[in-house]
Amino acid sequence: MAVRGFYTAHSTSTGGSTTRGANVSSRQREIDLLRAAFRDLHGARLHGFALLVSLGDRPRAARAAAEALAEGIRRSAELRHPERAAAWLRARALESLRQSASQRSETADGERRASLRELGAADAVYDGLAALRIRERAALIATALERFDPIDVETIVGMANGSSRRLAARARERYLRAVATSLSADPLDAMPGAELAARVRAVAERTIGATPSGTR
Amino acid sequence: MTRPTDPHLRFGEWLLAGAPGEPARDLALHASVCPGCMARIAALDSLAAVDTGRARPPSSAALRRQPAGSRRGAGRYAEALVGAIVVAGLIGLGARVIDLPALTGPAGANADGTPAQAVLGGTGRPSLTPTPGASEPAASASQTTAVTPTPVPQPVNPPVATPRPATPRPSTPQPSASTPGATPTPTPTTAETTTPTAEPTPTPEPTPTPTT
Repeated sequence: MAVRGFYTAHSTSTGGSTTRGANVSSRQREIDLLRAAFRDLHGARLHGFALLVSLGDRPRAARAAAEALAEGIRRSAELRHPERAAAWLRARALESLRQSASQRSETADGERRASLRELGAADAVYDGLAALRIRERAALIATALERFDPIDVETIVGMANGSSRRLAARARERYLRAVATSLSADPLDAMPGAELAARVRAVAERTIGATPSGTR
Repeated sequence: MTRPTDPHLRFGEWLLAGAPGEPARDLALHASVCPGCMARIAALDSLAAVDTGRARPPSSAALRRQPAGSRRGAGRYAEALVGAIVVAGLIGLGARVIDLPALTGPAGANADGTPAQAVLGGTGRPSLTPTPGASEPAASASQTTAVTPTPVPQPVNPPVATPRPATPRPSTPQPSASTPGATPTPTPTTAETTTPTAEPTPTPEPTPTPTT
């Protein structure tokens, strides 16, 4: 994963130089690697997160992601928990998006939907995300989509454990209420890559004694 | 708080809790035949199908770009500034073109039929009607002078003498520099300090009153 790769880049760059000059160059090389790792490993997904949270507002999302990334790169040398970097970056991006949320957006609805469609979000998903507040959206994306650990979700939404859990549950409920009505109740395996449907179907088939076919 | 026995509600709870692990057997059985539960599963699966990794990394140019709101604000300020500059320029131009002294100046400027000469005379612009000058050919100059009447300076308004009051005004006493310690006190010495005006003051003639 991105975070693990980042951590590897960080740890392999620490060389055993003895002279002062070599130490300086080694440190510089380490910082350069950190910066590259931030950009390469976090850039795309961070931007995708910002696009979803901003509901497809490209200029705002790009700016929020770029700001978070720039700050992450600037402070990469003082990073103590690289595995938490992704959550920290998202928290920064969310903060930036919340600050700019009061500004009227010039991005049209069709353009927003199109930008989310590029990420694989159907129009029903857009409608469901649009029903949420910005922080709820971030919590839902962090939990249901990016599957962050609870501690990372706390970092992202800036709330304590209980509060962030309640926020995520509320976001999920509102999203389901908005989307479920627009989605057809097709058979569970109708959607390609429907992981949750496959899980439920597998349990159901085991229960009725049928041989699970086509499941994991 | 009692746990709901309805499998539909319980399956909903399981979904809201983040669908951890596997659902209970009865719940899975219910959900596989419940249209509402299937729709909710599809909703979560469609969200999980979104891949944030498909986005491109943000370019650093996004940092230099202004957000839409502030750009609009800056645009408004720029428009207001340009508008103010244009208005100021027009006012300045108007003040130069509408030369007030020329409008109220000597009548000769208007009498020669070319008021622009008089108006623009002070601006250093070339006159609209050619006048005999050093750069002009003599022939054309003579033709021009023949055509254009030369303005003859004439007194527009005869000087009117303002009648002054016959009695001199009392002047304000001033402290004399020769007596530094003395406190200047106003003394009504109008006869001594007042110097009568040497210039002759024209006395207005008495208006003849008709007598019956």
